[in-house]
Amino acid sequence: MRHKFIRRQLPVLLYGELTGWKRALTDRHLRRCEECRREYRQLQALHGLLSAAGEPPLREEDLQAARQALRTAAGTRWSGSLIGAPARERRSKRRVVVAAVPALAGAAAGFAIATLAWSGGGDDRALLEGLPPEQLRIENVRFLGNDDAGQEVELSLEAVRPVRIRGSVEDPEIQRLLARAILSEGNAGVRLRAVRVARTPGPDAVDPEIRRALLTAMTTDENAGVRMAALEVVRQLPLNRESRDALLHVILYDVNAGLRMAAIDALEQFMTEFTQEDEAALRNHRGELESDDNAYVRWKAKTVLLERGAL
Amino acid sequence: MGDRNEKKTSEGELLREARAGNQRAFEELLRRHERRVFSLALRLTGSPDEAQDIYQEVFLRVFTGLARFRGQSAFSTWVHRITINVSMTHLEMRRKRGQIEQLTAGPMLEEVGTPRQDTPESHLLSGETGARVQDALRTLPPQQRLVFTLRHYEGYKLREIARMMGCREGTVKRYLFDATHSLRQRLHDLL
Repeated sequence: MRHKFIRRQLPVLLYGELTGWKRALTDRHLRRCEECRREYRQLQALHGLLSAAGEPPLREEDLQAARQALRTAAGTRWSGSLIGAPARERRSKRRVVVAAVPALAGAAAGFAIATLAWSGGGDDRALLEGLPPEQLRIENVRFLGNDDAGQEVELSLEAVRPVRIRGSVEDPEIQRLLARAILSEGNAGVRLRAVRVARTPGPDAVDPEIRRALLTAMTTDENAGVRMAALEVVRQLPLNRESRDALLHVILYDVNAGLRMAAIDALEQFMTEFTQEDEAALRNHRGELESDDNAYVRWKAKTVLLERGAL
Repeated sequence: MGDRNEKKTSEGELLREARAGNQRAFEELLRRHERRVFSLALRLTGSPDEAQDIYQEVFLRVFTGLARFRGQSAFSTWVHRITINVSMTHLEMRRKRGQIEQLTAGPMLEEVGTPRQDTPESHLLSGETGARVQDALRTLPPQQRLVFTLRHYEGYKLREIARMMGCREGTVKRYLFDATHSLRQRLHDLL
């Protein structure tokens, strides 16, 4: 009994964190017990071996893939020069882009940031009029050219100012901004936040535009976290043909195993509401479901759906 | 000493520039820390795919949270903590779904066929031994791997790990014991 207790203390002792009576007891025991001393020496040898192993091998292609995924998720907020990506070709034409990043509604205040870039030929200085200088932030300045004498210079830049929006999540204007953010905001963190805000009013109050945006995000967003958050909201909504098809799409095609698992869990919860059409849709893809790379998805498809009569 | 001060100043300058919206400054910060983030995520999850997802999430959080970073800790410490938090969330989601880990020793052995030559540690272990060690770590259940990695490789105290995981210190100690026991069994012939 004593040996078992002492051996459970040895890893803690090894890392210098055994204190008090347990430390005293263990030290005394080790002085007397060759068997436990041998065990401790083995732990010390293991410690040395593991320390000598260093970092797990990091394949450059894995790191490259991570960079690419990050660049894609970051979207237009970052230039093409991000870590070895091909430099974006400079354009002589500039586009006007207005993007609103929505705020939290209700009691929590937030900020929406309007980003303006200039378009067309000529001087767009008029667009800066009326914007308080202390609230204006200039970003991404690009020198497009200057004359030989150095007397004139052409710039493109982005002027960013905070825009504050406050209101109910059920407000149609807020709903449109949220849907827009879910679908087109370049920053994955903002898209994620927009998805989470969209769930706030509850399943009966979600705007159809939001619902469609959630289904689109669930199936096509580049960021797995956003897709997952969208799925979590969708599974709280009543099932319809669109959401069934979207969940099936995730199960069949999403590269992320966690998402495929979550989607098949979501389908299972709707099992009692399945129509003949739903069952037929699943039967048509039975082979693909049962040959998924992920053991959980295969198991779920085979046992649960089969048992419930959907297959 | 002068070089170290210059590097410190340089990172501080990069931070100021990045927070002011200088994209290239942020990219440089990313370059300096990305390998560490990816390695830690890989060590914690055992999966390159999951490490990629975590890498992405970490730097998106860093990017969006840069304005709020007040410099109360070193930037590297901040990024390190974000990596651990994101990894733990990832592992918790996986655990809740009862994902069955697909443990494949084959690919790991192939990867470490030519060990990295650019670190002192790589000279201490042969390719095959290093591969066995990495494989043994990878086969640990997620909670054990998390605790072991944070204690052994990252140097966190057990109490800190317990706080980070939201469990009791006794639970963390149990994970540590189970992990070392498992590793000893798998690597007994190398000890």
